Amino acid sequence: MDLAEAGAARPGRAARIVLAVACGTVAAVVGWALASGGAGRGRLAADVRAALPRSGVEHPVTAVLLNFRAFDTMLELAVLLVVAIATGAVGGIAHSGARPEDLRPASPSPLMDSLVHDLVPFALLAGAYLLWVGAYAPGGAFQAGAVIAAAGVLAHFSPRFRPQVPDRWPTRAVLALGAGAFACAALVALAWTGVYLGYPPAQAGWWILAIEAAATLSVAAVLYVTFRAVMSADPSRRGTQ
Amino acid sequence: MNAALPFTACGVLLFGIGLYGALAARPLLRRLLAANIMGNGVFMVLVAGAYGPAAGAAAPDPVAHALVLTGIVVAVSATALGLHLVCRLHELSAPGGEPGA
Repeated sequence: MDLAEAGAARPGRAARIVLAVACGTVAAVVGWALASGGAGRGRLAADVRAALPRSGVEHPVTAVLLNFRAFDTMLELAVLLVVAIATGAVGGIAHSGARPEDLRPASPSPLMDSLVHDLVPFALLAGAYLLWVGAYAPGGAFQAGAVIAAAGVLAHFSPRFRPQVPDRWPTRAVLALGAGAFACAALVALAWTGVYLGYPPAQAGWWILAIEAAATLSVAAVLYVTFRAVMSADPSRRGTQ
Repeated sequence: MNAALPFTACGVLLFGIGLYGALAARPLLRRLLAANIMGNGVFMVLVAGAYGPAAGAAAPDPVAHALVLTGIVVAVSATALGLHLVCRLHELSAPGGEPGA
């Protein structure tokens, strides 16, 4: 039995029944609260609709994320950065360098190579489209970043096209780009309009697009780097080293 | 009540199942998955709530959608960090790389 299993022993039957009843009660209370509450819902939706013309974008979700609640989104990018740093500190970036055994084919298949070769450019294109369309329709930095990270994950399984992640400053710069660009935009907006994260309404669309572009790169990089860290932490492989 | 009700109920159910799993399961990987199920229940409740009667049928509440979008990304990265820690713990506790967990 290893450390990962070493917590308390599996609870006995009676304890599990008590636990199940307790969890059921919690769920019932939550359900009851949701069913009986609900007053005041929609007030924020009306506020968003009223302020949408001044936000710089036409899609309300993007307006909320990048303008009305921009501070939340900035902190979210900071959370992503912290995750990237933490996985790196636990051995992510350092261990995910180009070790010889990393470069052996994960699945030596010409099919995989051609799939990656044909599909990844379209995935990158789709990511860029999602970033752009976020101003008018569902889309935006996080969706685009997720699609681009998925392209990276796909390419990871093809030895010919596996992305290289050198543990040097460009990698770290891309990881920090989203949070950094957001913080810089917040300070510039503070100097310009006197309001923290208060973009000038006339150019708000361009501010949002610039921040979203930086955030897209960061989200994609963080997701791919953490995926890579988890993949390279495969215990069976590490044990032979 | 409305079309969102089944989704809210399912979300609450998922939350309960995830809570039980996170507390009762012993393997860390299973706990991590259970916590994810719990989180997905919360997201489902929020998205269903965005279509509540007060929000109007035509336009769902964008604030709830933005919160869920934020939450999904944070949940994914937190899961990745958790997985990484579980892997690291497994490595440290099993130097021979024995299979299991």
